[in-house]
Amino acid sequence: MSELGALWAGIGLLSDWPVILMMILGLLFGIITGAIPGFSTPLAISVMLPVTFGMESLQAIVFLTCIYAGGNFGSSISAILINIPGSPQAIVTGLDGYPMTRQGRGSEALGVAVSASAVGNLIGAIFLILILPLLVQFALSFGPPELFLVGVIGLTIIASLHKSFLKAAVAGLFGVLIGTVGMTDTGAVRGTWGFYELLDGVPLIPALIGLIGFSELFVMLQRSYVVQDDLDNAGGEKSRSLSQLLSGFVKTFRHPISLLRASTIGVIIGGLPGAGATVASVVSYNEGRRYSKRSANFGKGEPEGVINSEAANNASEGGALALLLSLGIPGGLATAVLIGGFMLQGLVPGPRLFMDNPALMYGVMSAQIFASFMLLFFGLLVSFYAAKIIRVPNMVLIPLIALFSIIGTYAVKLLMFDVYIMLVFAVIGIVLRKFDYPLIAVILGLILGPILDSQLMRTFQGAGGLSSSIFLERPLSLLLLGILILSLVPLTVRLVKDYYRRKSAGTRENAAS
Amino acid sequence: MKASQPLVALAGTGEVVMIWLRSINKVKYDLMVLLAILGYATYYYIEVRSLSAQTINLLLIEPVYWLLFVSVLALIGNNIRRARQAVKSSTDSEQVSSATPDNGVPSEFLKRGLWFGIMTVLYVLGLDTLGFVSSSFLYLACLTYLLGARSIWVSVVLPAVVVGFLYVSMVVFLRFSLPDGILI
Repeated sequence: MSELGALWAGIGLLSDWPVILMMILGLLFGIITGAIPGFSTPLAISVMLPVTFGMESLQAIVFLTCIYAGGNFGSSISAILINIPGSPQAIVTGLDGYPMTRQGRGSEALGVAVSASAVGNLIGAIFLILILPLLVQFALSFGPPELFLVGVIGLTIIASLHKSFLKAAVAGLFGVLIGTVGMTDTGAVRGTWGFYELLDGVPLIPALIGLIGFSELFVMLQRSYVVQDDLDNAGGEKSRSLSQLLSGFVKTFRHPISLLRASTIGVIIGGLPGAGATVASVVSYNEGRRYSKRSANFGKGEPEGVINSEAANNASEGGALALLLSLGIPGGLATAVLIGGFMLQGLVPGPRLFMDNPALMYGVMSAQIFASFMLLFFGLLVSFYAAKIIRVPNMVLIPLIALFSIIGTYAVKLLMFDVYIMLVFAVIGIVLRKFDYPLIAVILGLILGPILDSQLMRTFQGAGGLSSSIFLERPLSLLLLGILILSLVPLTVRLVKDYYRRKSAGTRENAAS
Repeated sequence: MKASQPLVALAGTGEVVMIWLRSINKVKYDLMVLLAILGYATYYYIEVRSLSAQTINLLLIEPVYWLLFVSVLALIGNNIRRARQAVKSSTDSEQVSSATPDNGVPSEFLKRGLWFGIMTVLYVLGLDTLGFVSSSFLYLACLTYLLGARSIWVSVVLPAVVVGFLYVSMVVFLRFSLPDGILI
């Protein structure tokens, strides 16, 4: 069967109504669970794995991939409305989404997120079908030195996270150290304090909920409502939300370059093993900020910030699926769980699957395109009602979020230890907030720490030692080193400017005295 | 004349010391946080250094630790310098507040924060003892009440509905095993 014939056959399979129903249910489940703090996308997929056992192959796989797509968007809802990302990939969405909510523009931010997510997902799906072989070949040529450099490039965003570079650096480096806790590839156990639960490293979801979620609840305690401004009457609020939602929805399309750049970054990083949606959104946000005319507004409620984050984390699904479907390599945790879904159907993701079931594979890939259009509608629908969360008084919202967060944390591995870890990180988060340290830098360090550590170890083991030639003699490494140096230029300029500003201020003071 | 010179010098030194002490006092909480971070990092670094395959285990941790060390020292120096400037120019505490966060916290917030913290710790400890349903219901009911809700709908009905929904969806539908104790 030719590639085009297989594509048409795959699209034909999607006309079956149970497949369409499964797509809708998967999207809705993904969006709703994604919006619940702690209910990560991998968790949502894993809890639904047993349900797919009795389904036909296409229904089951499409159902799970739609949960993946819905979850990628859904996690932005809570990040925007209450500054608690449903999953790590929405961390940077909250950087601009939540300030928009605080300004009374929460619905607009949700509208932006819906359309950016749908476009990101669509571009990811098109990449998946068209550029899959090239993309996979490129990602496969990345060795440990290149993956290490990708991690270092991701870390450079820390420099731009706070007005005080030193505070951001301390927070980020502290996060990297915590991220390296656990058992290494060499079998050494580091910093576990004797807790065997930490052998796999500090669990990210409890740490995230504690650092960002619970510490945010303490901030919320100071206010009666998430949005302190006047609460309009029900009808006014409703129409305002709807018009805001639609205006945000349209606003995304006024930034086609950002959309395309973010989606491309998302697809490429999503296709790198171990990088995933979180790194994609962070790198995309950083690049978006670098090139935006409104870069000064980033972090203060800039819709372009939401676009950069959401388009990238949704597009990363295309890259991650490319890697999974063509080579059977999971790009991240969510795709690793997806492998379980394939296994339940007696399918093994990889080149062989394409040869044996081309129509099925093209059906799965084409479903992503249809899911993108469905996401537009269901995303808006859920967002419209989700926006009402800001009308709930904090005395009700805080206990409910706390309960969902604790149970969500517990549900990841059914371990009370994770809940204790979450509380420890909550205390750290409250202290760091109080003293004005950027929490996002700690989280970034936590995520990138294990990647940097394992890739550096592999580089060391592969070359029998570390020397600059490892990075300088590989063309891809050299290219990434160039990007790294370029990304450090704005920081250097800022530090030099700060130094001279302080120096001139000191000179003026001395002259005055 | 000559005899008074050492006294003047001593007074000058005393003034400098006083300025330093007052500066450190202004930023003492910042310093405590930084020293706690550095303390944890140093403990971790020493622990990893003591491992057998030291070179490979320290590949990332060593440069990160030293970068953190230098950043913490620079931040401590920066904080003290700013506080010292503020003390020296005898400005009011507003200037210092740029180096240190505002410690003035409303008592109502403190009370709410305290209740929230205590109730959450009690809830987490009670999950394994009482069980998910009873401890979650008590947590929601008590916390909404303590945070100011005085409606029976908010403090009794809502917790019952939420806990019931969570129990049915997670235990019955998703087949999760939630913590159970002497109750459910």
